[in-house]
Amino acid sequence: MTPLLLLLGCEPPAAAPNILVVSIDTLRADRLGKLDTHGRSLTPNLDALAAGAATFTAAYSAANETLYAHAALFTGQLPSRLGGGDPAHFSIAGQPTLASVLRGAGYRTEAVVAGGHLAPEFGLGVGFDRYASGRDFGSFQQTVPLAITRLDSLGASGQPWLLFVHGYDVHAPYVTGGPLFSSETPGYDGPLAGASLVPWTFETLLGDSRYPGFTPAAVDRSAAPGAPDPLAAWAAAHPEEALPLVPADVAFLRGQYDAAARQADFHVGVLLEALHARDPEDNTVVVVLSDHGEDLLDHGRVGHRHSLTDETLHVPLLVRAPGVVAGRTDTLVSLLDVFPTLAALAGAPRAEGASLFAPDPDRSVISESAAGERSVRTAQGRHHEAAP
Amino acid sequence: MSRASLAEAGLALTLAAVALAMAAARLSSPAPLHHPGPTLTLLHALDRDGNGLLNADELEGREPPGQPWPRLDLDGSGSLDARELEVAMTSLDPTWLLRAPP
Repeated sequence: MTPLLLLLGCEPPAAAPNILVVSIDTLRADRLGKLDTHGRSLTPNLDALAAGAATFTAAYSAANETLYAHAALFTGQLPSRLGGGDPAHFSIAGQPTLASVLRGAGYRTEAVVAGGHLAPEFGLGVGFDRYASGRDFGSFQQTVPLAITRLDSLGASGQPWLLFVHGYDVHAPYVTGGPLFSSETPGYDGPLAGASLVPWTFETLLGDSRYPGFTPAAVDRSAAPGAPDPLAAWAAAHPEEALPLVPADVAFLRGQYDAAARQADFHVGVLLEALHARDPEDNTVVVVLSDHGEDLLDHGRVGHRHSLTDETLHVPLLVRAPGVVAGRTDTLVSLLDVFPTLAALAGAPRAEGASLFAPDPDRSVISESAAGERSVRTAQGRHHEAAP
Repeated sequence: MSRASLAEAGLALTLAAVALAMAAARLSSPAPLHHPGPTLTLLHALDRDGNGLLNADELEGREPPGQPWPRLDLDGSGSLDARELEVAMTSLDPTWLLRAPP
């Protein structure tokens, strides 16, 4: 890994900059710039952005699922400080948020999200002047066109603006790869090809087998490290149901994920191209990140809520901003740092937390699960704490 | 016919030829892309034989249930050009496979 090259000396611009934050749900850090079997990047549009951006190669989310991760992103607070572990009391209401702080500094604040755990009823719209939620678990294909129309409205508002855009393209069942479908594994005609059309197929994979008799009703979506694993228990009780996976099946699964990453990259590219057409000097601060990653049978499961491993928490993080020197930093950072960093760039009151542009090599980065378990990462390694 | 008339006729013919050429160019040129950067980047990434078009193998490797190829190949040419790829990526519901017949 390249040592710290970056930035520093980042001065707040004279005028409050416009800020675009893009969240690619479930995109693992290792898919950024990953080459396909023909040596071509899955993410050419993000690669182009990275060429002019600060790229944080050791960025970790504060949570392993969408709601908690975005709540932490918006507030700079760990989920446990927001009532995490108890969905009935989880809330960011009353907390300073990126949107509310920027609005207080004169910004127009808007979001275009793709439903799911970012739907308005989950309460993450705090501080946004406008919080538009598209189709449930939708694609950037729906949110990006709306976001582009908002670019025009925001530009005409006469205010600096914050626009947050989100899409689930890379989230299971990955067939949201749409037209790209199995383009990463051409020729695969195994059992997952048809089964993958059933959204819950990936929740029936454990270890090197598939258990089609394990029904969605049996899926405990709150499963967390240490919690009883219903699929494992079911599989142990029904060994005759196991359909062994061969390497080609696993390659297909991962290929679908990669095709979905390619699709997300296309749509983010459309958004960035539209932004550039409206801001040829690239004065807008652009942040691209993911809320969490995905276990693709790296540790025997598919998904993210069950695990606090690097595969589910290591995320891409790119920041392009006037005055920020492009380059890589390998120092540990957290998505909690995004809020104070953007508040400082906007000239808003200083928010609690660390700045991405003052990385601390002795930093500890904490991540939490929906069940209250946590992992702590340092430059020396990671350790795991069970829920109380 | 006077020399001036001949010159005027020549000029008229030249202008007509230019107008016809421009019209022909308009007719033969594909519709401009709305998102040329990402579309051409994606086309390049998938175009394994480098001919500027995507065939079924390059895009999918097989025909998934629902026989999508005719829905993508709008002109029935057997391959996708940049415009057809852009239409597929921006207007074809990316979750359509979930509703494909088993």
